[in-house]
Amino acid sequence: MRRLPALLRTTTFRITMMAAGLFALSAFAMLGFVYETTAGALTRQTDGLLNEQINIAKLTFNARGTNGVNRFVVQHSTGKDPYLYVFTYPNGRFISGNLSGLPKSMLKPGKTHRFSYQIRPAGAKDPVSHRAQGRLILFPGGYKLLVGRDVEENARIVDRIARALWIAAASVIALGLFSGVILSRRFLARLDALNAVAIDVMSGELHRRAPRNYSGDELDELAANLNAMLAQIEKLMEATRHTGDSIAHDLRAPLTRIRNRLEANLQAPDGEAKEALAQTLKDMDQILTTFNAVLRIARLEAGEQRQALSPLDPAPLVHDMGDMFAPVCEDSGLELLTETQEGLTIRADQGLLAQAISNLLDNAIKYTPAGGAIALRLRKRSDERVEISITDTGPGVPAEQREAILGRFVRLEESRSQPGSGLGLALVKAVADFHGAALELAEGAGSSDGKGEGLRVALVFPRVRKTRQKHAEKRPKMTNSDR
Amino acid sequence: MRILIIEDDLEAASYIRKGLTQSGHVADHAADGETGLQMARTAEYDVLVVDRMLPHMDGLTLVKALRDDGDNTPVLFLSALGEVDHRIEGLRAGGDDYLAKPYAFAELLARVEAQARRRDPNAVQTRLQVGDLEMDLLARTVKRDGKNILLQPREFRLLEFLMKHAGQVVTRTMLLEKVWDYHFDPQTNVIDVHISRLRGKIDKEFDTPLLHTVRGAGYRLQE
Repeated sequence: MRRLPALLRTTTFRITMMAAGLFALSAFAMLGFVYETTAGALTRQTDGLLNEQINIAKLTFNARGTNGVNRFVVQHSTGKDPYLYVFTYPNGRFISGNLSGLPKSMLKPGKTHRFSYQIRPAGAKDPVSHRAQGRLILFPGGYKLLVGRDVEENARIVDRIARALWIAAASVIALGLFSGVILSRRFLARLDALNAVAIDVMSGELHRRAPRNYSGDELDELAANLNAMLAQIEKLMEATRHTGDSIAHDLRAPLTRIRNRLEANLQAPDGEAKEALAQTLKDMDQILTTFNAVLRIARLEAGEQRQALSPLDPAPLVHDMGDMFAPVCEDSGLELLTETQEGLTIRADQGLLAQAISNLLDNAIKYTPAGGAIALRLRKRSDERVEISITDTGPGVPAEQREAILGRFVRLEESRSQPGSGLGLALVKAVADFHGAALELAEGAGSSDGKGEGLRVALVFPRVRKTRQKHAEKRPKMTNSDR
Repeated sequence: MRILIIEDDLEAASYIRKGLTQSGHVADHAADGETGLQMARTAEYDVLVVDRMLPHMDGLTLVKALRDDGDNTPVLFLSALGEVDHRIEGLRAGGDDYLAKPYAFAELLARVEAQARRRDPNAVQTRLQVGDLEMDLLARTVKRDGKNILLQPREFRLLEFLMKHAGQVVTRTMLLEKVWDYHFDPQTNVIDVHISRLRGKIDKEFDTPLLHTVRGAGYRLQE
């Protein structure tokens, strides 16, 4: 089958055509009604007048027979009456009247017929054809009488009405087609633009975005959704690429170190080689830790396992974390203060949240000089949101660098000497994003050694709707037979 | 102990097998799910080490089939799918423990041995004893050499776990999972600090240390 031209295949065009068709149909019905009420009325009016004459003729026949009818016809044929008469013998021979004979189409008596006849208007040289309407009466004995009336004037009016109606109908259809074409072409043009963007994106130009006209119509909405989708895809692609770069960046150094050490120890005596192997194993573990962290960040950023979030009371968790880290703080000469508020609810994954708090406490312990203090607080803020904050009395982070330290592998110059992969805060950020929580960095109350202002890191969770809270089940914990 | 390894990665399987054999266990190997299920059904094993993704029949299905037979052999899942949901999925299917790849062999060995211990008939214990260290689980008291030792609740649970697995290596991750019930990677030596506190209380004033550090693996409580 031959394919229709693009325009005819579009949905808009088809819909427009359908609408135009329906429109034309109703227009036809309306025009038919107009025609019927005008032309029909004229015909009926004429019919009524003819009926009157026929009745008179019939009465005349009943009273005075054929002679009476003949006289009636002769008398009326000469007047200025626009009536037409033909009176004939049963065999059709002309008796009297103002027409030369019965029109050939006049066959059935009692029915209104239309016919035309020749008339020579006053002063005119040639006869002209006029239209007439008439009826044949059959008298007893076979005599026939045609009573008619010239309807040329009426017919012309009707003709004009009909022509006007035809023009109107044609205009309706033409207009429908025209608007269909115009609308389809506009629609097609916008659709083509969307398709062009899709094709560009497929060929790798991920930054392309669909044009929008901000009218809020369906196509605009489609374009907006398409753009949001592309933005998400681009973000994920970017994240994937970044992850790849990060892995390469962070793993190359230790891998090279391992390789060098193994090579150097290939010929070394057993004892030395064993020591090198032990060191290598340690390096490998560090690599795996980094690798797992990167992978975890990537998964979180890709938004996997979002369903893992369930409503939970963060108080026991925060309490446990404080409990877990208190001895670590003590060993580092720090004081850990844990403050929790009971009865709060957040939607969270327990493991991830524990990881985030652990990383933050870890950082705080790492960067706070001995003699300082760390506060781990859980509270409901005045805006009803739940906040978990860790405040230390370390050197703090300059305001302009706060955004940057959330990135991967970013370590401030001063902290290069500290162990760590540089992924701790990035993981916290990923966990925060995964929970839809805000990660706020601010200065703390001041540093214990007077060299800095301390750092306050807060995870601010979105509010949990009450209805959800009621129906949600607590996430099943790992069964533990050892306890 | 007799252990069945169901793992399609032949190199990994042979490495686990070698390691388990060196530690004094007997290890068999099946390279796909169907063979593994058949072997598990026909022979008596103390622990099954099952990879989640296997040819012919995946690990979850295999373990479900075994559990449907009424076979309660402890199962340790190995999987590259390490995230929390996968872990829960594995445990729901009837697994007893879950270890994400890559892992240290010491971790695997510790977990396998911990699983085997669970089959002991005297599972309901009210008293634990390692050397001269005694724990009363009902009174929640600890004595060493007749002297009372005061422990905080968390320290008590830590010691209880160590005593239940006396003679076995327990890893830091195992302690975090079983004693604290959390699954995450602490970046610092959180567990070490707690162990060192506990050691201070149970070992410090006595001649023979009970709580040993196993290099590159974890800890072991032993006479």
